[in-house]
Amino acid sequence: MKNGNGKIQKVKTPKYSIKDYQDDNVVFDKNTQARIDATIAVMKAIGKQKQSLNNGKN
Amino acid sequence: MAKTKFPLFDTNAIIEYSSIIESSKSLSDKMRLSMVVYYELTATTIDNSTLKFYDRWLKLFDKDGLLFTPTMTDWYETSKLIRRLRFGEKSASHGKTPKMPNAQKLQNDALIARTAWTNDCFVVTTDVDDFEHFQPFMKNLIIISAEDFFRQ
Repeated sequence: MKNGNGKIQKVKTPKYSIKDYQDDNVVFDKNTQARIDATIAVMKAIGKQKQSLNNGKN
Repeated sequence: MAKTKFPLFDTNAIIEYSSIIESSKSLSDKMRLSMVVYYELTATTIDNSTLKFYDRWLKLFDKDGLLFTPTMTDWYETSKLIRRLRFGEKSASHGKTPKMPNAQKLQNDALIARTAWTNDCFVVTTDVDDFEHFQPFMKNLIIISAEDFFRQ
């Protein structure tokens, strides 16, 4: 993209971080809460599976 | 800066950072899911006892319109992209790219990148190098290293 002086300006790629998506004060509706709970259940299952795989290695 | 894009995690990012995703309700709310990632997780990481959790997860993401399944066009465009990578053809923004004879191995990553690119998401991945191959062909595709994204 060219700036006012006709020079090429590098467009910076936005940096996203988990901090941009953390807000403990949000109240979720019932449907959203159900989806969040389902996500958490899957993440826990993945965590357990990782743990049992690691235990198997030791 | 207002954040208008949503994180779409690739399979390895989910596996590696599952405990952090689990601990953040708002991140769990904002994340989007690719059917390709769901396929990889289901096919490779679960046992029968956890299948019911995956079923429910899929249905609820689909119900809320947050599950992105590649369309015919996505498959077609991805096949052209992989072909261009294999033969080192020109991209609009980066000119000629080096030949990658094994580019077809990147099929799933390319589909994940395309579904992120067409649905206002950015890709969070542990394999940034693999996803960067697609950037010349997907203008403004954003790829974030999982290590950077999850750094507290």
